[in-house]
Amino acid sequence: MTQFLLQIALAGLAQGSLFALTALGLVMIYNASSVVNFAHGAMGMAATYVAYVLIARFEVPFALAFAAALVAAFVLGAVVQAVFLARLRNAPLLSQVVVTLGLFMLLEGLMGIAFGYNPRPMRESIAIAPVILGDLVLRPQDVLQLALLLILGVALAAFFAATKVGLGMRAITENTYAARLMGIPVGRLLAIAWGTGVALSAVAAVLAAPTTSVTPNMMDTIVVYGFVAAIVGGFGSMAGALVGGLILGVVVNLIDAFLAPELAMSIVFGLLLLVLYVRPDGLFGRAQVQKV
Amino acid sequence: MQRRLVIAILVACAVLPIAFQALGQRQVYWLFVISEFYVFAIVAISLDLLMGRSGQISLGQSGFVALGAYTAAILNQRFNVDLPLGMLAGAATAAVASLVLGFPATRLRGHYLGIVTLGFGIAIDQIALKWDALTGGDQGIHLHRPALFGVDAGTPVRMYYVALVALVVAVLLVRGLTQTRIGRAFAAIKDSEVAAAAMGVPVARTKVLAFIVSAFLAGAAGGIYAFLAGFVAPEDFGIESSLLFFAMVVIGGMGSIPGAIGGAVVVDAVKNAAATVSGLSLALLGGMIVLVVLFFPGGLKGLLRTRRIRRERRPAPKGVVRQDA
Repeated sequence: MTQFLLQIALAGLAQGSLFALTALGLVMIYNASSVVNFAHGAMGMAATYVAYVLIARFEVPFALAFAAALVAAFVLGAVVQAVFLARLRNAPLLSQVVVTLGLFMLLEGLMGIAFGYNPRPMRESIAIAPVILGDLVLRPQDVLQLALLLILGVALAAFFAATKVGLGMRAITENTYAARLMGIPVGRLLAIAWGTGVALSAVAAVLAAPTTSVTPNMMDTIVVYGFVAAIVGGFGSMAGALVGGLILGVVVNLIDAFLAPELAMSIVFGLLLLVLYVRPDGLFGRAQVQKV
Repeated sequence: MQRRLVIAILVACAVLPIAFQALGQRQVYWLFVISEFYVFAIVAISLDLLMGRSGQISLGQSGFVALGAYTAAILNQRFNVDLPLGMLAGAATAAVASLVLGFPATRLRGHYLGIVTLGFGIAIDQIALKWDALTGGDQGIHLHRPALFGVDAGTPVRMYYVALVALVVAVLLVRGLTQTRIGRAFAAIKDSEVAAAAMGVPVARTKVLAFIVSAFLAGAAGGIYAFLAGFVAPEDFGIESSLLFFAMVVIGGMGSIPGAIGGAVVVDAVKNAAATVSGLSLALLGGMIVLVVLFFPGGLKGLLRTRRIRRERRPAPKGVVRQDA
């Protein structure tokens, strides 16, 4: 039994790392621009098609296609910020959120028209046989996901602690107006934050692709769990999003194993409501004081 | 909107079934399409009340429609409950669900409600599929022939009028509500929660109230839909239909009843016209939403209004003294 539980926990952490990567990107964008990006998963999905086409048509190695997808995601995020969101800087927040929903529909629809809704298979990210460790089966794919999450988590922490760009972003989170007065190039940093955030979503999407296959709605479930992870983590805390994603992954796998897999998302949202009743700012969030 | 235009549209809607007799057999189909549109317009108005008037997002409006439809269908199937009572029961169920959902969500900042309602919409869909002892699973539920206070209402023409009357009642209700103290509280919260609180508006309670009224209307629309279609199944209420309702409100122009109805016309037309290519209607509507927010923040309603203002501002011809000058 303990071995079975351990195996579930392992699978949960691996799946949770995808939720965590998505949530990290969401929080990064939210911190920079106060916008909940509903197109987050769709943008990662669009970038995955870049990797898919490179691999399927041009037989590019996986690592190279992965890198190309990340570059495409960064450009997509930065362009969306500079072209759509920057124009709406003075519009109500609701309009900005509505635009991201429109982009979500637009991207899914366009990919549906271009590639159809039939799932397209994606090659495994690493072709190594699973490693048997005692009683546990370690899938290399799972290890890769967790390792990438941890590396990116540390890199992001260093980025926000030590680099000039990262410090500038924290200043924007604190007070965009004051940051502008201090000479911080707000527009450029917002574009970088959006680009990096969407690139994180693309990491999750490309890693998920061998399991989910490449379809226009491949990220729908993952991004919704990413939202949940971000809320559990307090929507604003990167560490909270990371931990929230991992916990959620384990919870989802426990539900799949012991309750009803078809009801996984319903149960997760029921739990989320309970969490919000008890702790309105998430498990790891601090109470927010609204500034006037 | 001008009174005369409204009356003209209403008269046209009322005599439409007579004109449709010329279509022969196909009139049944077209009557259903338009009746269904009236029900969708009620949902659009309910969502506009939430988004346009009180500034909150719901991405699970079809979840409330589903609750209303299933409540009506189950009551009808098991206890032979009829249209008016079934519709009210559906509306009440949706309202109770919104209370459970809205209470934690509206206490929070930002757009949590959007995410929580998105999850709600998905959950209702999953539960309807899974709990087949109650909902019939993917087989759905067939309803008995509807009756209104003992009078048979099962013909397409009669259900058409039921849907039309329901839409008119919904419009009058929402219009009345926006002119009351509560309606003004919604508007105050939309403009600034902090300012509204400073003016003595109970922000959390008012936001939840907007959510409940919106869910009540959507649930009622669901109840009518169940009797109109005579059949309820999970695929009618997926996340896609929530997005369609969302598109109706944004494209029509938030905060306006004629806007919501106009948006419903556009979205319904695009959906039906672009149904052959998968992804096309989604892309078109998404593109329209982006364009509307960027360039025509008032939506359809705003477009009409700016044209009217421009016309009124044209310099008066020589020799004519303007009344307002």
